[in-house]
Amino acid sequence: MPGKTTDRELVGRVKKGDKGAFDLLVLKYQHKIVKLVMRYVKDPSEAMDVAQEAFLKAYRAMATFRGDSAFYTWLYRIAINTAKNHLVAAKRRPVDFELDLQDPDQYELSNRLRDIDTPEGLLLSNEIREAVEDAIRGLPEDLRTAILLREIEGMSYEEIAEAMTCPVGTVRSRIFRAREAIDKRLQPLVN
Amino acid sequence: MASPLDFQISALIDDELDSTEFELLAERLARDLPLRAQYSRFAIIGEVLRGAPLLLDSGFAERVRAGVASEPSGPLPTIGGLQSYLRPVLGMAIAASVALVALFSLMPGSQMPISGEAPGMAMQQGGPTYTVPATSTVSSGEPERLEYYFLRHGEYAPMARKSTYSRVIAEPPEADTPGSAEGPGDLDTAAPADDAEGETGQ
Repeated sequence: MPGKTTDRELVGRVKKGDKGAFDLLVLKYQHKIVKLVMRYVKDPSEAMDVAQEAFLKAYRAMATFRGDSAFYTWLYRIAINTAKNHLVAAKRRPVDFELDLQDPDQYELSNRLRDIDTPEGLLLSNEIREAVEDAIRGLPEDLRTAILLREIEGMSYEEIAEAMTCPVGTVRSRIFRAREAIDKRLQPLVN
Repeated sequence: MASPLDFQISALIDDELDSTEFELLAERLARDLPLRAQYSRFAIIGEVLRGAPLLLDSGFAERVRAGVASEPSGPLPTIGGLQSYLRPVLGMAIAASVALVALFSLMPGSQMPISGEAPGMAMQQGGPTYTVPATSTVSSGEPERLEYYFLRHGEYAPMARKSTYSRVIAEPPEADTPGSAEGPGDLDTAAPADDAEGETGQ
């Protein structure tokens, strides 16, 4: 199961007192968790605070994580509960407005709202998107296929190797090369 | 020229790193900020490709890091001082203890059977498949022991499942009932053996 083995290793290190390992989990899941919290808490700065609180709760409760489920599943539950508790404490409805996500126009609107409605804390940068998309378009076919199969289809290296009829080591190399090329475009924007 | 570490960062994002590689990389990531920044950017690439909204506030991770740093250092305490692998063992031990207590509390320890044999033993010997002999070839003391068994069984079994025999021997003696209130009736005349067998065999 993707996300499970490495996460388990990281969790093991956190339990032994390695706070840096928890930092890696934060870097890995911060986007997902903030996005998740924003389903409940519309205000971006509040959502950031709630997400931050969720991560801290997860850290404090790490000793109770037995690994029966994937770490992200466990973290997801903590984030949801933290967001709900936040709403209860604030005595507010879960969402301030309703959007029909089945309606493409409204779905687009909701995305734009998320993008624009975020101050410096939560930013969906068109520049970054364009940079990544340009970089992807400029990749050699084999690199582009490898990284898209991984990132979008969620295939394992072994599955990609089978699909592309090449060794697993080649897949690993192609995916890295693709990321390296994209990262060159991304680095000046993010840093 | 990419270093092996760069490859490993990419593999780490994909959870395709083996344990030995992971240990070394985790150590390195703990003190190598540029490497951690690269890890973070690789994570962003994935989010962008999946069309997810981005959190580009580097201060977020910093704030969480500061929050975690203010937590007590050292290995995280396990719950109640128990290792996770001991918890199921403890649970089973408790369950076994409860079962034992229940078993012994159900045994009529203070009321010894007429035959002098421990009632628990009689129940164990009888068990659910105990068959009452149809003939009167039982040895001396055996009928009392069997009746005691039926009486005890009747006390603990639901009413609907009591055998005819156990009800008969539990009732106060009538004028035409053989035996007395203290002494159970004659096994041969009280109930057919197959009735008792049918009840106890269930």
